[in-house]
Amino acid sequence: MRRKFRRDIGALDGLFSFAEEFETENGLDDSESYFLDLTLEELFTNLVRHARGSDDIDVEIELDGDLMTIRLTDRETKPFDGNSFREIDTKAPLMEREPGGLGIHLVKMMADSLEYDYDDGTLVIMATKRLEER
Amino acid sequence: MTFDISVGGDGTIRLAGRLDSNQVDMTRTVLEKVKTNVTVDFAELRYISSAGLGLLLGTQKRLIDTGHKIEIVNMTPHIRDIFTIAGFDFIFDIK
Repeated sequence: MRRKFRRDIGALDGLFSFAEEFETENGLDDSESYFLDLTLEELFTNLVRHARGSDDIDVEIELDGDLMTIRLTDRETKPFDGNSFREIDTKAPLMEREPGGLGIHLVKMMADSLEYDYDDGTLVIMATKRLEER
Repeated sequence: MTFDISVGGDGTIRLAGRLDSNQVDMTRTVLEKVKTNVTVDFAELRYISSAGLGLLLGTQKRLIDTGHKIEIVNMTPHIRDIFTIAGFDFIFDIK
């Protein structure tokens, strides 16, 4: 499934509806649905806030066997290094905690892979996760 | 799934539905008014992202500064997992 979403946090409701269509069609359980919703929200909001592309954001979700792939494509963006997000110290005491980078940390920990590819103005972020045997 | 936040007569804050980036402003308006120990009931909360976690983190830091804290009750297993991955399970009092 593939759809374009306007570059706006307000587009999240449509993004969640899109995810729900996929979840229903493919019989995702509650845990898998939570992962998909969270991954889409965190990656999408990061693109809206940091990538500064000039077009709508293209979102694609695929299920090949038990491998789910989530791909967000953003065009005409400035160079973007996905590895620049700071690492989160989850053992740090409360007063040393900052919310920045938390969303990407959650996705990294829950996904099997998270990759960023930037080429000639186009940024592709791809997360994969192997689902329970269907 | 919609989102709702309400404050009971005993001061308990109840979150219900989906706390995502679109609902942070409404939630912040309620949490900013908290000045003492507070219980936040997650019984009906089905989803929270980093946006909601960040808001809870900021509120906890502000309250701890004055000797108070947030206590979270009735957390569902999925959200408990998110708290554990975020390392929030030991900076909040979860019951």
